[in-house]
Amino acid sequence: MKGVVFNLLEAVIRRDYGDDMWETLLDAAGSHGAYSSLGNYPDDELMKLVGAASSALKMPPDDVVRWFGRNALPLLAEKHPHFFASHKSTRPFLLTLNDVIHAEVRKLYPGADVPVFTYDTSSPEVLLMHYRSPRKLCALAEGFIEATAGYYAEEVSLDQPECMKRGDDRCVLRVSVRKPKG
Amino acid sequence: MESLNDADVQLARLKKWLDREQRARAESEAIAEKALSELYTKKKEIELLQLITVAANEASTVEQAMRTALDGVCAHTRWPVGHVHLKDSAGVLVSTNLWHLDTPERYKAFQSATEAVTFAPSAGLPGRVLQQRKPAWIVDVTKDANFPRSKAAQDTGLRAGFAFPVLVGEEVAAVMEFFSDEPAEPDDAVLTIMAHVGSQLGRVIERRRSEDALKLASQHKSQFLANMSHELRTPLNAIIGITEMLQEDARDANRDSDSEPLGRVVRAARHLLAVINDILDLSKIEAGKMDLQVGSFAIAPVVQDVVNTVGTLAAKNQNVLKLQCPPEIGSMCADQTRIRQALLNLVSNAAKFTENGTITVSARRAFADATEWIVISVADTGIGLTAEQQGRLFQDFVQADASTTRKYGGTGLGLAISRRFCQMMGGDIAVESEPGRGSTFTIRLPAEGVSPQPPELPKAPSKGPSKSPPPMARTAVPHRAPLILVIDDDDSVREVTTHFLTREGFVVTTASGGQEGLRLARELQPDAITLDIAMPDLDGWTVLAAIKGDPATAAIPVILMTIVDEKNRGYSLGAADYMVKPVEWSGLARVLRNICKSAGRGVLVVDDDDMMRSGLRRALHEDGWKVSEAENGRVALARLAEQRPDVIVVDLLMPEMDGFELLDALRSNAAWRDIPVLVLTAKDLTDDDRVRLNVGIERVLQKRDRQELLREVLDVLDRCIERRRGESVAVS
Ligand code: HEM
Repeated sequence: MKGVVFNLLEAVIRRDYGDDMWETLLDAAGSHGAYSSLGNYPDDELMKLVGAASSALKMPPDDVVRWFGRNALPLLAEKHPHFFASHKSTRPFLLTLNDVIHAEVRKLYPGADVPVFTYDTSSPEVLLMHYRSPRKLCALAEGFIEATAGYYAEEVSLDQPECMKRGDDRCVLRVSVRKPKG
Repeated sequence: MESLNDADVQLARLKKWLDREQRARAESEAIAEKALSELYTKKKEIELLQLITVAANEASTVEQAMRTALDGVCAHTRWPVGHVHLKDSAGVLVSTNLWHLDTPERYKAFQSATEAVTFAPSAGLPGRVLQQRKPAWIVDVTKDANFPRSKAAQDTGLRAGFAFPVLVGEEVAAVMEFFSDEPAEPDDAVLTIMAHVGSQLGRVIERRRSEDALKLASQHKSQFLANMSHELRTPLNAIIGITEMLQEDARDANRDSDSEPLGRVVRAARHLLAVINDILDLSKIEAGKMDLQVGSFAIAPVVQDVVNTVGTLAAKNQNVLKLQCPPEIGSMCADQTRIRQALLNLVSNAAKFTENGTITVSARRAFADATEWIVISVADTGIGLTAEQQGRLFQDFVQADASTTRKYGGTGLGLAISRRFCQMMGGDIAVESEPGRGSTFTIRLPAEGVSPQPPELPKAPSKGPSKSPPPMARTAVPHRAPLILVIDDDDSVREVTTHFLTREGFVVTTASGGQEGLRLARELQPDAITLDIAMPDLDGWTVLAAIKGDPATAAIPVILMTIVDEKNRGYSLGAADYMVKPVEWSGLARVLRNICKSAGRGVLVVDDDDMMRSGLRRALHEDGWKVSEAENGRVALARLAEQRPDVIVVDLLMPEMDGFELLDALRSNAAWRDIPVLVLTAKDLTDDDRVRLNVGIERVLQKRDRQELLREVLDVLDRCIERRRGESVAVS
């Protein structure tokens, strides 16, 4: 996992739970805590930090990851505004993930191992995103998607008719976005 | 207490944080450095590949591309030794002279050990690559079981080695190997890039092979054409010769009704021959086998000559032929024959395609691109050409319009050939034209010629002082008319040649083969020999060499008469002249007359006027004289002491020592007294002068019109030689 992900986690924890919390999590996870955004670090290290946060915050790990995604995405948008500026709503943005966003990520962070989504766009209302990754970070994707909808000031409802965590061989993220009424 | 503790904790936390940040920064820098260095290596790899791609595309030879690759790979890897092995026809790798050696002295032993052996598949490093068709790497060649040169490597301090194949398709055409001073672990990046290098070079070889194949095919084609035209020309020669003979007889017997159709046969046959010659010329140019005889010559006479030749043709179409070529245009360096041919082609085309018009031939000098050019243009007021016709004009085998071939004759090749000749001489032919108004063709040639191959050919061996026989030597058969020995295996050629030469006043003896010819040459001591090249018993080259190798016959001028156009070879073997069959009879007669009358004769020209001297020198030279020159009487005496000329041409008014004084000096010396003297002068002679000149002077010529004077000089000299010959024969 790229160091930049650790940097993001550190940033949101410090911001929402204070410096001490991050120190506590590092100690609990047994991590040295020195993360360069360009470096690559074991996936396991991230999972340990998530586990530590889960105990400290009394939240299921997936909720930690989702929360992380929701809070990290605005930081990414701040750093890379052009990814977002070229769209006006959530759905078209999501459809460019493979070809534009993660493609660029691979160039910016050499060695980045980003997921490839497949899309089912047969319904204009409901977008189905198929996700497959050994990291099983579908919760992160959910967080990211929720935050993206927030970014475009849209309402989103999200669920997973299929999920690797429930033993399926892929996750299906069902995304429906509405413009808020009024 | 509480707060102090708090502060400590705070400090400890900050310190920890700082440590972390420092670590993260160091890590970032390490990552950045690694990325930069990888970037640098990639850039170097790309540069190497680019170098090799460019070399592969632009190198004119495979060797050159390989050399560039050797140097490039060595520079890239910083390995000191690189070498190329080529696979030979037996499928074995053979060492080449393509090496990269940082310090050649140091690796000498390794170089010779390598060059001493060949590598069969699987033998040594190159053999392994040959067999497996992929790169191979040896960490330390001195420890490798399959490295026959390990001793030499050890001695010269070479350790690691790698090699890769140059692949043409699936086939290994060559193997490149490289060595370093240190043992080294295999480097994947290097091996990957070397695979690219190998395939790029493979492409060069592939391209070269297909070029070679094409060239070979084209050579076969040219060879075929050459053979074919030989086959065609032999019978055609017989047809022309015999028909001319019949025509001659018919004319002599006033049988005009016979003579006229025979004339048509000859014309048709000559045309056919011209076509064959054109095709042969063109195929020779294409095959790169056309050699030029580059030499310096005066331009005006050549242009004049061409205009004279075309005169009749021009007059036939009621054309006026104008010539603008001042003699001051001087000389140029080129192949005179080819320029004559090109110009003749342009002028006769103009005459053909113009009626009731004017054809203007003009020559001038021009400076452009730091070169002095001779520009000869032929402008007509004829039918002209459309832009499209102009475009096709110089293409091989294309006339402006196919129907013109039928109407005006010609092969349509003349222009293409002329242009190729001009291009070979560093120039070109261009055309400007307007339909209905006329065309202007312009020949442009560098005045100094291109890379003049020095064709210092021993044109007339008899001119060499050592070979020059005393005139008394040839007295075995007393004869006034010159004796010509004709050596040719073809009955019809012997018959026809005898017929014409006899008519021209020569005495002719023939030999039907080389052996007989050699015998007769020794016995008869003829004045000249005409010699065929292709003969069954002894070929002409051998006969020529034998004649020139035997002191008894070496001085006899030999004229090669052949279908094979190999002038240089002929001249280099000592032939006096070279005629391509069918022989132009008047041409042969002229050549023979020149050879026979003045062969080896020396003339001393004494005149202070440079122009006059060089004019005389050229004219006399062309007539076969050996010319020496002096700019005044004193120099003339020095020349006389060096070599006694057969004739002296002298001007009267000169600085230092004038003609009168020179004549006095001649008369007072017994050895020189009876050398015939021809006086040239611009002086109006007084009676006194005439008295002084009276004794021993062949003739006094007044310098007026130069051309006329030259002709007169030649005439007088010829007569005086003719007389001497009679005397010397009589003396014996
Ligand atoms: C709603 C949009 C997005 C979704 C659903 C999404 C989803 C994901 C997921 C699920 C992962 C985890 C990798 C895995 O599963 O193997 C991931 C990794 C990552 N994503 Fe995104 N992503 C989104 C937008 C972005 C944006 C906008 C950026 C940055 C400009 C970004 C940068 C990254 C990076 C750097 C990683 C880490 C890759 C690695 O460590 O090898 N993503 N993304």
